[in-house]
Amino acid sequence: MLSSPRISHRIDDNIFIIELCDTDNLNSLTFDDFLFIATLLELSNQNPSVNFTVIQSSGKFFSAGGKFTSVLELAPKTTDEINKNEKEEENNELRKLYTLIGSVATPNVYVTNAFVKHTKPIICSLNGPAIGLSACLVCLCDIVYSMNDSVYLLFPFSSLGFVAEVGSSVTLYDKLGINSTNEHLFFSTKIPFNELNGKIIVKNYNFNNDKINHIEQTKLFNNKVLTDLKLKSKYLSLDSLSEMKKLLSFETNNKLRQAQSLETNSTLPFWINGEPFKRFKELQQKKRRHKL
Amino acid sequence: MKTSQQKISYEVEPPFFIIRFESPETLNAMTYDDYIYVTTLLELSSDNPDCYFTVLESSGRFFSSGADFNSIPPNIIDKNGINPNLDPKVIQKWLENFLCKNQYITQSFIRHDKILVACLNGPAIGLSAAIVLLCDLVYAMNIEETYLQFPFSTLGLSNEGSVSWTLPNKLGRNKSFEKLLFAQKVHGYEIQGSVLLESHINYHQLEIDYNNDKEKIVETFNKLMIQELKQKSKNIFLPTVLKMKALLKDESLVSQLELINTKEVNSGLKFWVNGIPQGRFQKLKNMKKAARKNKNKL
Repeated sequence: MLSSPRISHRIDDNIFIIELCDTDNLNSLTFDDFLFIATLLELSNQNPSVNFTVIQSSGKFFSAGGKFTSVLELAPKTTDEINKNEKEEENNELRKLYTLIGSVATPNVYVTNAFVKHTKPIICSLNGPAIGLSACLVCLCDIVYSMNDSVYLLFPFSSLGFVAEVGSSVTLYDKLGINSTNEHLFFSTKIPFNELNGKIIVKNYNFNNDKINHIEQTKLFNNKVLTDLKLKSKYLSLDSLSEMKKLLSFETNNKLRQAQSLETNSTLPFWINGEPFKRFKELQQKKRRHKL
Repeated sequence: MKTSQQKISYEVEPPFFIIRFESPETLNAMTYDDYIYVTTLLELSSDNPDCYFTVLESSGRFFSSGADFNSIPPNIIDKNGINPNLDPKVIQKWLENFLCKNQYITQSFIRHDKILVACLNGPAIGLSAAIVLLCDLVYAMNIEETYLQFPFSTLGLSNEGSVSWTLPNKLGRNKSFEKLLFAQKVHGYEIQGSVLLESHINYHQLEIDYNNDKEKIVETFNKLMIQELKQKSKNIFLPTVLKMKALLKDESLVSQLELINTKEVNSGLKFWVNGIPQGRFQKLKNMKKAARKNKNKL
């Protein structure tokens, strides 16, 4: 079984809770972490006593997205490291391709699919901004509650040199509409609360107490979402829920299955070409700043 | 008990075919027979070349409160201890009483070729609310008091009336999950613009004019609505609207709605076979009875 110091999980009544708990690093995640989230979803899916899956976080950010170091580990070796022998170079090229396909397909195929095949309603407690692949996860959730109006989503794919990934080409279009999606994906612009409200965010909890620090406030918010959820589902016939989810999702799920292949194959050439690595490196060395 | 013909009237007033729910004393609750009677009226409208619009109107406080509890047949008491899932008699009973009827009713609204207009005088619940979402034009008398509610999860049912397609498309996906999973009201202001269209009728003026007499207000609203529609369609070439509907609701969209309709009734069937909604409807009936008793005591 995989594990990660940045993600914890527990079961409370009939709720399976996945929590991002690396407050210090704004909950940025490695590729393995995304894989771990997918296996947790599977764990929740297989547990017959679970009716809801909740994804929550801690501290100020929901998640700042992929870790730079984790991305740069995938970067191809520099030229002087490459053996000059031609045959070996060919092998190197092949190995490079294998690694890239593996790491690009993991989130795009495996993680997206874990959401697609999940039979229980997935609820996201959005305590703060979510960026990149983490923002994609937020969009794959069925219901999103926000802590306050300082949350936003950001998909900086065009500024990092690749394309829409992890279902975002489907989910954003479905939820925000085509024109708004075009704007935010093309130009890597922040999607502020007021654009998300009503479309992705179902309810804003308005936790805005300046006297309480972020960590405590997020804890209060997470607990409130869980108590509300228990209260709301008390008189429901819970067997209806997964059946409803099936009916509501089958069309979108088909689109998401299609997107798994389309997104992987569209983004792969960009990673092979190496532009994202260059840009991630510049970000890491603070040569490039994302305009927030 | 009133017959369907007593509860539902119709009027041919070209270019309108008007169907009116006239059982305000039960908040226009509908039995499956009533809904099926409405589908026969849709047929009439469809076959009448002078009619271009099929208008649904109602009376009293509610547009329609959905399924009539009293029309739901009781559970077959299982004496032999056979699992109802494996009992052909039980399955057949609910195929007849739920699946066939529900699918047929929804299908009639999906396939109706005239412009479907709903004039909401108040809230709509359950299958009736799903039908409102299948209408092409929807107007509300008073947005503040109007809501749609789909209490399928409290009743132990699944989605009905192709609402799995219509609600996400009209209200957004995440919000639809919240509203359907937790059986919450979809308030008028949440669907203003996306479902409820603007009309020139001033509800508060009507309230003053008729001294809060709800019956008169609704009557006038229905009249004014028809007048307004008449005014709007005065200068248009009517056959165009039907062609436009055929384009806006093209074959692929209709097929999607039909597919979801089939999926919905099949997913609901096993709940009926297992007796879950019947038990929950019975509980509601008892609660209503108890409430009435308490009222009488006071």
